[in-house]
Amino acid sequence: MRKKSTKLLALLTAGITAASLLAGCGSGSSDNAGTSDAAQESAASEDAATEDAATEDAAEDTAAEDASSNEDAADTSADASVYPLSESGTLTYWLQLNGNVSANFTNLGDTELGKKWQEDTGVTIEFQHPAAGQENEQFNLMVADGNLPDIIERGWVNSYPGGPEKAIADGVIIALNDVIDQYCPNLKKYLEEHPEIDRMVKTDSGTYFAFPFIRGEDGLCYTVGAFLRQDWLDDLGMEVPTTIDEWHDVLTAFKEEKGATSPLCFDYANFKMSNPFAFAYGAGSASSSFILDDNGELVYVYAIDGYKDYLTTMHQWYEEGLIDADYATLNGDQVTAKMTTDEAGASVGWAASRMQLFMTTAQQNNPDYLLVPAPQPVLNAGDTPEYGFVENNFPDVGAAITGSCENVELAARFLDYGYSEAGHNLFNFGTEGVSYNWEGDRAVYTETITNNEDGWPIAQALGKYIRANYNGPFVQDLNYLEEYLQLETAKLCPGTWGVANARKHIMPPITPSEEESKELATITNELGTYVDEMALKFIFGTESLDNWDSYIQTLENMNLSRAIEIEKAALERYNSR
Amino acid sequence: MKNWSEYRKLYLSYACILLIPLVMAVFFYFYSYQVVQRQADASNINLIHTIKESCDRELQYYENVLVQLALDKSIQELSTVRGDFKGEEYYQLYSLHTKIADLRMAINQSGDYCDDITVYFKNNGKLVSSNGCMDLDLYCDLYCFEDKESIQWLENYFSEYHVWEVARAKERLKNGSLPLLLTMTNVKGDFGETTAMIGLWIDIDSLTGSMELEHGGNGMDWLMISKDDQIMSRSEEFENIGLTYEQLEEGNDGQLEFEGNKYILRSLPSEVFDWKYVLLMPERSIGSSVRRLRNFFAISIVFSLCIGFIAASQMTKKSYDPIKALLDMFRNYDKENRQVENEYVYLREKAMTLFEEHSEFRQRLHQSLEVVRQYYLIDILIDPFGEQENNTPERMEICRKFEQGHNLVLLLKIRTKTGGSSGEEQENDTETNNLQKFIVGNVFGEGLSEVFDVEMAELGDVMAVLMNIRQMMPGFEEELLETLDRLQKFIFDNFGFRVAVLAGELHEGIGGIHLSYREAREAESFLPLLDPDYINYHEIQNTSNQNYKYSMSQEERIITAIRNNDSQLAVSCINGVLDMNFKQLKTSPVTRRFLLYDLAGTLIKAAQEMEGALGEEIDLQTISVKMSYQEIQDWFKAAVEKMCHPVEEESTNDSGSQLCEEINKYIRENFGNVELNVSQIGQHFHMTPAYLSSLYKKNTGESLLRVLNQVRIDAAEKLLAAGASVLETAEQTGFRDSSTFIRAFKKATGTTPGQLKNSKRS
Repeated sequence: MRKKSTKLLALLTAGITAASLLAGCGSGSSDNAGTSDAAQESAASEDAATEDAATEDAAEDTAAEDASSNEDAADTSADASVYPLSESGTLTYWLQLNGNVSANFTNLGDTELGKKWQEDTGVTIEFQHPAAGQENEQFNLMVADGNLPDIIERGWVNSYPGGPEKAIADGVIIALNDVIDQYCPNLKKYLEEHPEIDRMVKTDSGTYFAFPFIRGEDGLCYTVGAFLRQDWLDDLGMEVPTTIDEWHDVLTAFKEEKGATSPLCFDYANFKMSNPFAFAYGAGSASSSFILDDNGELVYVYAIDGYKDYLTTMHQWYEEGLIDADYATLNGDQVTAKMTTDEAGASVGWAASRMQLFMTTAQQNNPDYLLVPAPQPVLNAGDTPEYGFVENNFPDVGAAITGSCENVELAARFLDYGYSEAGHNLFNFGTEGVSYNWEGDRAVYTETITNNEDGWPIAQALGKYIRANYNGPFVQDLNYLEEYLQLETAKLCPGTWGVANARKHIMPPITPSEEESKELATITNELGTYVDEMALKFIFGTESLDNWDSYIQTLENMNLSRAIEIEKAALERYNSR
Repeated sequence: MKNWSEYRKLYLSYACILLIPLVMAVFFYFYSYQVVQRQADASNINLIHTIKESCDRELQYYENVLVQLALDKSIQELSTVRGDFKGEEYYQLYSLHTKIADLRMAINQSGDYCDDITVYFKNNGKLVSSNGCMDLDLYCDLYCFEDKESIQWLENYFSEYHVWEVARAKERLKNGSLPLLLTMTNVKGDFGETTAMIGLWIDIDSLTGSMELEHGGNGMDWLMISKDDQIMSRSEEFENIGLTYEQLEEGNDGQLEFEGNKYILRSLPSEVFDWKYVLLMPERSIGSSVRRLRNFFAISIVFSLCIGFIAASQMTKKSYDPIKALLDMFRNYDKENRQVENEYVYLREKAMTLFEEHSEFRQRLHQSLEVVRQYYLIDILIDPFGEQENNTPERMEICRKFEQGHNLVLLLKIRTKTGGSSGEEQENDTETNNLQKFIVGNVFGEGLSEVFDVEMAELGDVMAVLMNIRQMMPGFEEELLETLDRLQKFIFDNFGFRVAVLAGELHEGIGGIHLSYREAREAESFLPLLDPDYINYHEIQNTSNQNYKYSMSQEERIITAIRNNDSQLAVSCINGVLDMNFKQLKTSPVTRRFLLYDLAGTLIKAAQEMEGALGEEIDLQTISVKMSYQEIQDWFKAAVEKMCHPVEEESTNDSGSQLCEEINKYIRENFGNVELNVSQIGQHFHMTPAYLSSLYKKNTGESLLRVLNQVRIDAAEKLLAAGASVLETAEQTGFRDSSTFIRAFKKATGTTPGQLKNSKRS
């Protein structure tokens, strides 16, 4: 076990170093960027990946040494991190119950994970869950009432008006710097080893505010991408498309040759800006409306030229019937229905909950049914993708200790468990011997997960034992995703979708000041409503793209420049952390 | 038998006591059943009203929503589109979708009632829902039914013309809810035909559930029945209840039996839809609360009865105390007399007095018995003939003791040292005399009864000891003598006086007592003469006969001479005897003393034969062995001459009758004195009682004792006749106590004093 974790750490450090190196390279070369450069880069990145694998053994030795020396240091500094804790107690813990859990359980404490978590730490937890869809309302009520649980797990950077600093100033949560220093050797160690993540999980003034959910590897951040019917491609003698044009051809072929009524079908609500086609035009964004363009300049994604090009293409495809006519109102159910009934041939979504799900569903009737992930498309063949879907390593979910908590030390030690080796395994893999077994260095899920006797989908089965399939106060392990992705082609997804430079263009979790965020919210809400409306109008053709200039003018009238100003200031503060 | 009936009465009364609460409980039970039913009914009617109002309000709201949608501009526009929608219209569909989604959210704010809102465009089969825009088939496939029939039904239903109608789906939706489909067409169809159908899917389970939750109607069942008798609400269990819309009239409270359960029905018509709300109240729900009430009653009755019994028994234990009550009674009775500290002291005193009285009584009884015993013993001793006359049980008992074997009488006489007692010290003397008598009686009684069978009796100044000897033992006499000697010595040593013992002979039978007594008495006469401590009559006779010569013929000659008043012959005879014994035989002084006694006895015999009282003349105390021979001769001569004189003078009778007169007078004057008896009279006249008695008898022909008694009885008769009580009479007439008096009286008159008094009175 211990050896396993050191290996993991070694891998992690190796991977990250490589990635940052490459990123540095990429940014350097993108100035005189051409499509050929991009292509070279993509090749380089692949090389780097193989290199990674090749040098793994070599790197392991040194890293392992580092890790072990670090471990020793941690051992001496860790004063009382022996679980279960000698001091037992009861804590209340407020969090939203994930859909994969709530399908079968009403309380996280009823799950095997919840039980083992309490058992291992020796702390009794009373979990409190808000009704689905009412998280913010109930949180606001709770804060207004002043009757807070000991621990609240939710987003703090974007969801709390004014951000974490304000939450601390309001007395809702407490600053954790001293707490982490004194009681949380595991988290402290992790943050010391990962300064770029450390920067994400604290405020501009360097205050820690929560026990963060951390995606431990970049592979875990490339969660969304395009995928399409390999069997149809094979039938048509076509390759997986890599450019927009190729996509156009493939979709047209699907429509005409395969009789797909809606060749490209994805739910607009989820992926209106995070689909690969938007990224192809440099107008994609995983979450924020603001991105960093080629020059590293902060821009409003709905106002850039690339966005106009993207809309033009979409409108064209829509007119041609390549995109589902009901594209705007689709939801997952309908996408699933269409993708599994040959109505659609390509979609955008997550590897496991969409692509793998479609395959397992459809293969029951059509064994030939096969989906493959498509790499981030580029405009010109041979280009290296510059933009792509990537999530932050810290996706703004963290468990904070509230101002009402009486036993801060107990809460802190309890939460620090997630960053320990045992906690890491529990949250990512569950209970050894029950939900997973070690096969060499890898944790492999048992049939309890993969072939659930209750007939639950794998996501729900995972929800009973782990939290890696959503979030929580721990570091997510790529091993989880690789095991979660059972099907061959699904396993390819993180690698295929990954865009090395993608992280350069996304906004880090910046924390605007309270006043700024209020103003920003007012502006962006207004902007958001307008751009959403206009986006569909442009695509459906209700509004001609000839009116682009007036659209931009309207945005300016909505005080867009002020919003950019605020964002820039916050980014500057972030960068100077 | 009587006991049994008493018990029956007791138990019957207990039963009555039990019956009252039981009857009351039954009465309360039925009354409260009524009340509970009425209240339940009232609350149920309330409930159905509130449910109706809430439901109607919700439905009203839905109606408004539907009407609003029906008038919606985009729906109007979209419904006119023939054929497939185009790009621009899709944006309208998108807007409609967001609008519907918002509406649904709004409806669901108060609860998850609305499953979905759909707008179906008949022209192209497109359906807009909060889940998105899609074909009806897809919608059904994803959200509605799996059953082809249901899909067909839905398609047909949406194609028909409905304005504000309600239908219940045949099947549950995929999300598990059983929907109620409210429909409304858009009004402006071309040619009046329906081109868009708006549907509102209501989750009836959650709606009714929240109604019940809100109004506390848990445990109640209620239904909504539409005009075509379809049950709209959930509760599939009542699917076949068979209620029809027509049956239900407003306010009608019917009863219904369904699947073995009885229900009470209450119904109300809806104001929004053409349906009726029906409340089903299971009778057993009332029953259960009443059952609880009944159990409560039963338990509380049993409990209170138990408490009552316990309390009653405790109170009885505390309050019912017979001894205390008795004491209270006593205390109240004695209240006027005195205040007693507490009952125990009082009781102790009472007990003490009772005990004292009792013991005194026993003492008295003992005394009386002793007196009786004394009386009979004396009687036996003195009166040789009383045997036949007075055979009282007491006497018999005493006699029985002496009937067998031989009897011996001892007389114990206290010897006073001083020769004569002066008159002044007489009272003192009687006191010491009594004390000495007491000592003698006790000492000899104790001492002799150790060895012999004895009875003691007091005879004046002499104590008589009656001994019964069953079998003659060889050493008897020696033993007796030894004992007596010891006792005499003991008394002398301890008390300083001497006691003379005078013994009679042994005689057989009861009559022997008297004989022995007489002999002892005779021996008494020799006491001053012989001065010993023990004089045996037998010894007197035998020793004189043996040791001195005084033949019977000589004695007879002397007596005859005296009788014939031939004093000279008598004197010469006596002299001859004296001469022969004193001079010729030269007998010992002791023998001489016996001789002198013998001679004196001869004189007494002679005197007795002459029936003359010679006691005065023959003073045995004046003769003694210590006198000289001449003096003795002179003494005898004088005595004989004295005896012979009266005969010559013939005056002895006068003096005797004169004495008798005096005795009679003395008796009449002193009979009231208890101490008056024969021996006391003897003392008074300076004669031995025996002599006095014989003198008296000789002169009057009557026994002195009898006369004394007669005098007393006569006086008593007079007193009784005068009205005096028996006790008084006994005291005044000199009887020692009433019992003695009564016995004597009866002996004399044949009746008891009480009887006499009574007969006199009547």
